[in-house]
Amino acid sequence: VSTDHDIGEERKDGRLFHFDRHAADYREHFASITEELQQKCPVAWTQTYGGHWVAAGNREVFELARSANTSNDADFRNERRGYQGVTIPSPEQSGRKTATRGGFLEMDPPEQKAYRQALNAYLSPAAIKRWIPFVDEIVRACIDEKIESGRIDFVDDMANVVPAVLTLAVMGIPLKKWEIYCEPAHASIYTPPNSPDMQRVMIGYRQMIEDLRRAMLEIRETPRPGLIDAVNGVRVDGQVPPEDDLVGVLLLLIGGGFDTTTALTGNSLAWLSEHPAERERLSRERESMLDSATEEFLRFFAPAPGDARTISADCAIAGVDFREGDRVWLSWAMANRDPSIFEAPNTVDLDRRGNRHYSFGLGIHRCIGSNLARTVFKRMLVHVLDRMPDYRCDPAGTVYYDTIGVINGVKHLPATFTPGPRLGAGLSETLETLQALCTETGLSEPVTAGAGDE
Amino acid sequence: MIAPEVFQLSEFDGHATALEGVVPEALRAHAEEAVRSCPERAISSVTPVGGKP
Repeated sequence: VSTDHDIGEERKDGRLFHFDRHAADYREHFASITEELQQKCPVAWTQTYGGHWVAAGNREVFELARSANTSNDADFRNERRGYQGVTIPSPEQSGRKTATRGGFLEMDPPEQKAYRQALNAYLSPAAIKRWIPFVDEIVRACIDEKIESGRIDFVDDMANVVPAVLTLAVMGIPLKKWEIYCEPAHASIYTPPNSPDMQRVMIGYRQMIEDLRRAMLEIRETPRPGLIDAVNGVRVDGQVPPEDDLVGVLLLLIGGGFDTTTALTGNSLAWLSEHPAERERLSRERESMLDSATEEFLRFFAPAPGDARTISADCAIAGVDFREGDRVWLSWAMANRDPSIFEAPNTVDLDRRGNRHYSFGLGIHRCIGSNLARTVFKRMLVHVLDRMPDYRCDPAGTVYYDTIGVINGVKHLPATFTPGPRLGAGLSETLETLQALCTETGLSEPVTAGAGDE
Repeated sequence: MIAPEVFQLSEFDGHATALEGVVPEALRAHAEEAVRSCPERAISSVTPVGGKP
């Protein structure tokens, strides 16, 4: 990787811009920073984190994300070209000595394709539809734990729990383990690298990794259906991939399944609390509005705000001369606010049509769990609208992530509402019932080719 | 899915395929919305020879 980037280089003239997604005030100033970047230079060069490009314009992000001259590869052992994957700062720049490749998100084809093809049949719209009664039961139980009290923390008591339990179920991990996974999966994202709490968070994170590794080996010995079984069956060039690569894939599935949907739900419920008339209209007209509202919340809150790429060959894209080895940040969140594509981009319009948001990414790395995410979000939202229609979030108790550089998330979202009656069993009893359901009905099996063609 | 009448969704891998033939006039608005909504810009519409513009 070339590191001799001179900021005086001609190709960077007029494109210099100070940009730091991890700055404490980034969340607050996101809209104005985006506006300035899009007006001045939709592809800018910033010197932060070793120097990298920032793509903020919709068209520019589109072209870069779909270019064959960009790589997602994370080559931390320097066996190929030493590329640093999809995070900026890279693990090395964050001071992390050992880094695992972030699954197939940090691979290029054909390696990446082997994993995607193995997992698609578990995550297609038809496959996810089978899980709706299961999701409804977890949501019901989470709400039942709180419904008589008139108080809930939407993140701690629901939005953390439901995606975690469902993700484990789809993977083939026992549901009762959700707590081992939940805290580390979220805390490793929202804890800034220099925080004194990081050491404690990393201990939990390593326990989670070891549990994943054990589950993987156990399922290899005694197969049971789910994503882990599918990952165990992947061959790259006819070979079983290195164990660390497989663990990285499982971590990617945990990261993708847990924190992102939680973030979308937290932000959306907070917004609906501040806009009670819109909330009432959404509940009343959900038949026609739920889909467009979901896409609009995705566009506006962009739970995963962007990904990095490495330029893999000298090329010109969107009028910029890129050199092999250049790092580029593709901001889905900023592309989603481009006024040339979205009318009134900084306004939430629950009826918005033609909503070409990039919150699931673009191209071959587009989120493989988008159907699952949409379904889980919608079910949580509908249950809340039905059972606590007058909820009010407490802004004083609301805690956003310290850094939204990785996930635009909410840590705590306390709310009050008019108490109501319980409808069924509590969470732990419900999880036992659902575990038995998974085992008996083969819910975690893939949808087989041709099943829907009869 | 914005226009389920115009596309078929594979149960297996989730990929959508446009159904063959000319989109009936009644479904035109839905199909055009699908064109406008596709983030990958993978959908386009063409007017058949001799068809209405």
